[in-house]
Amino acid sequence: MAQVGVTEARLAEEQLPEWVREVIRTAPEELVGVCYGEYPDVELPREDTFPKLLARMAEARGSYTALREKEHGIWRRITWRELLTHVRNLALGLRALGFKQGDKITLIGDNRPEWMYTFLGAEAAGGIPFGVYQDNLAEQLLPLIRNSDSTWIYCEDQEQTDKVLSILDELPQVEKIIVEDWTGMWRYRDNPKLISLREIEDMGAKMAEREPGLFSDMISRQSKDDVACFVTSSGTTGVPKCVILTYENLLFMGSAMRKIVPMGPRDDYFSFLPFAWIGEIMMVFSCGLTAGFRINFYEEPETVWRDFREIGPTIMFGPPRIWRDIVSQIQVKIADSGRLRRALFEKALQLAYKRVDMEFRREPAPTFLKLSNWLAYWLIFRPILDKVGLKRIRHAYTGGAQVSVDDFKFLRAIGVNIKQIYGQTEISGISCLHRDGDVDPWTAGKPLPGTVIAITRNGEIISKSRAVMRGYYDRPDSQDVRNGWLYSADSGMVDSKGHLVVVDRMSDIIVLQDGTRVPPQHIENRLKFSPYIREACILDHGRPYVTAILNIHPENVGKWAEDNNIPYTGYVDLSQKPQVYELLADVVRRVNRDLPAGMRIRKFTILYKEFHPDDDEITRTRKLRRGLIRERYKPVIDALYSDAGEVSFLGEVRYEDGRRDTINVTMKIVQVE
Amino acid sequence: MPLLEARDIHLSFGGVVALRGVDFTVERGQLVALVGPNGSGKTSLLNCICGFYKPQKGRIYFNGMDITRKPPHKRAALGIGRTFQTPYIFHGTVLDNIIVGYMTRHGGIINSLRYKAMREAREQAEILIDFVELEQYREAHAEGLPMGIRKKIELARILMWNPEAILLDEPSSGLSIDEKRDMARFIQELHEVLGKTIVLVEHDMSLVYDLSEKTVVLDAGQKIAEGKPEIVIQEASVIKAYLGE
Repeated sequence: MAQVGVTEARLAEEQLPEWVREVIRTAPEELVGVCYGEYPDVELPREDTFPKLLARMAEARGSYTALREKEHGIWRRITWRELLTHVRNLALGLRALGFKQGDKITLIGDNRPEWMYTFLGAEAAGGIPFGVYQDNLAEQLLPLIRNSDSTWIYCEDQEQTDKVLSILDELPQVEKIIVEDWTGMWRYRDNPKLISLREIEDMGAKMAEREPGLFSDMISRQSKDDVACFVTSSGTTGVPKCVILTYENLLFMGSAMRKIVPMGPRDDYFSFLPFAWIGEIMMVFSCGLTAGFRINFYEEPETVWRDFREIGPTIMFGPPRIWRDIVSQIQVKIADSGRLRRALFEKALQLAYKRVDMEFRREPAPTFLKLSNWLAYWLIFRPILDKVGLKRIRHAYTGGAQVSVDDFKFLRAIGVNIKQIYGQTEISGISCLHRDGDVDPWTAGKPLPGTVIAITRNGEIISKSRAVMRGYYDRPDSQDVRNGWLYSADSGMVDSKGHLVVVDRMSDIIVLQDGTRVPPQHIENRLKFSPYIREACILDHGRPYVTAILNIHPENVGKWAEDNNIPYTGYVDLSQKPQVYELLADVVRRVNRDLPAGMRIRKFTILYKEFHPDDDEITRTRKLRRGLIRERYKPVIDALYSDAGEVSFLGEVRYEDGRRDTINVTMKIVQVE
Repeated sequence: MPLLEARDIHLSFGGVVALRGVDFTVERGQLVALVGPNGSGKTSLLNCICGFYKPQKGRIYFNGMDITRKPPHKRAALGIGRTFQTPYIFHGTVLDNIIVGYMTRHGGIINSLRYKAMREAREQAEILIDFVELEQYREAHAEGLPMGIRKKIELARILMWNPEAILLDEPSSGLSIDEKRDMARFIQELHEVLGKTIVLVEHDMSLVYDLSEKTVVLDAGQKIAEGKPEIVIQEASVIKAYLGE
């Protein structure tokens, strides 16, 4: 498939190191490409479970800061010793309440120290914690709690508790619901199923006094082969599955990553992405507990970016949408600044792009370019990075979906050391990442040490390492792991540098009538580089040409409309303004210019609403559910392939207070030359 | 002994009579709603209680003490807090706007400038910011903020001096549905959990139904009904006052 800037490498088995040859001999089918990490294996830490690692940390670095949480306007620190005390008390308290070995507990809540205490406490008590996305609706929570066989639930506050209580009738197996924050819940006190987190901790503290050796006895009986937790799979094809990960899986991944990325106690990590996401579990637990860096928690979800800036993290891992947000924050502010500043920024950016392009081509930059880039960084980019909180960042990673090459280049140009990773929940997070000095925007880098990634004959990426999951708890008959190889359903290839190139989901690749294969994510990401487009969906199989359904970015387009004196009432109205169509047509034209002729977008329309996770059109990590979109918007798609200039659609809208309503909207179909 | 008692209050501005002999009592820990059509004297009564207006005749007692002759700031220091229909917000951050409330009970400006007092004030302000959920606005300039936020700021400000009696003048006017719900929750929590005595002037009848234990209806400066909200609202005189004949 045509992919810009990539040379595919043919597999030459005789050139592979001995250990790789041994590994690929176990592959269930013929391979056409292989890439691999530096070493055959990595050593796991001697303490082979999370609770044991925590106990060691508390012993070695007891009075150092483990966590920080902003509360009542002040950053409060929690030392390693305090963290251990909380976890110990919770574990013993849970035990006292009848929480048994192997019991599952679903955790629903924002990133808070208490979430961590419960997670680690449940593990120490021999249970299996399972974090789910806190913005799931009640009906979306139901299958997750049921499929994981959870008998306990941790709810952060009234909002989560209400959701769980509303479906409790259908969950007879649930024994107890732990509630952390009782604000506004004075009328729930008599519910016998609810119990406060503090109460459990108090119970545990008393038990610890009575039997001081019990906790260390409990955790010493666990080993690396025990199940550490369940993590939800991404769920692009349906209800997310429960991925079973052992301590060995998670610790192997963390140790291998630390071989490549130096992380230590002086680093700061800002935990703000949902704990239900493998990326957060992997950073906070797999890496955090072994490297001992400080983990910082925000005050409220609304204050994330301000708190982020106050901390100025040194390590960060986020999905492309977070980086997109940061880039668009910068773009909008620059566009809003004075003419002089804008001109200076653009000049500096030009120079920086030149440097980045040379870096990508692996050419040494001439002295003048180096010098001017140094100046541009200190005079122009650094103050901007300071404003968004990225000034101290040493290592930044993006993964979880395909990043837009334009965002990636932009961030590297302004001085963020951003690199790509590739991975899945099923392989404990990361399996592949860029090394410093070996960054290529079109690839995902090389596999981690001890990891082999291969391409099958039909182009699917498969991987093998000690981090590959045990299986799915709710789908024991799944064929995703065969002979230790994890089948990813992603299509990809290996390039001449030994990097993995991820093309798209196998099933997402669009084959046009004339056989042209179009990777939709690639085009969507180019569209989304415009600050005016929030989401895009590229279409469609078996059709004569490419079309797109676009979502406007409400804040940025709203601001643009205000600046241009275009009045509007709300999202639906704004999205259907003729001027907005013209604005987006320009964006589409610009994107088309860089695409091969067969892949150009011929027609597009702007959807009257945003793709929303509450409507199941997009996952909580913002991946499109293409099947559902095709089904729901079939009349719109048909219109895109007809001569119609517009299409009316009876659509459903959901208001913020949960009410639903149907409206009849007419959307234009715009043809782009 | 009732916490708050107004006896036979007469108030007029020149020829306009605002209150004609109103008796009004609030027991400790009670939540009383004061309702009535526009111009019936609800706000005037609140103003007499907190000391903005001096009634021509009548006495006001708080905690058994006659406060009729006391100026507003002394009444506040005794434990009366009051919010306004249009919140009074001054130039400064949200935090500044809340923290000034501390001075009322802590010896005025000079005493409040001691390090210990400033520290205590900030701690208390932060607890209230958490209570009314204003974390994201802490450092924002208060003047430009929307009504819902301004009402929260004012509520937090009066809570800074921990008053026993809280007078709320139309706390839900100008708020969106979500903001109204939040406000109702705050009032409920103040009353049920912290045991505060609350006088609520309110036009939103659903709020009055849900929250109040006693409803007092004023019309043209006179008390025309008093009792449980669901009963009072059905009385003929009340219906007449609201809807006409």
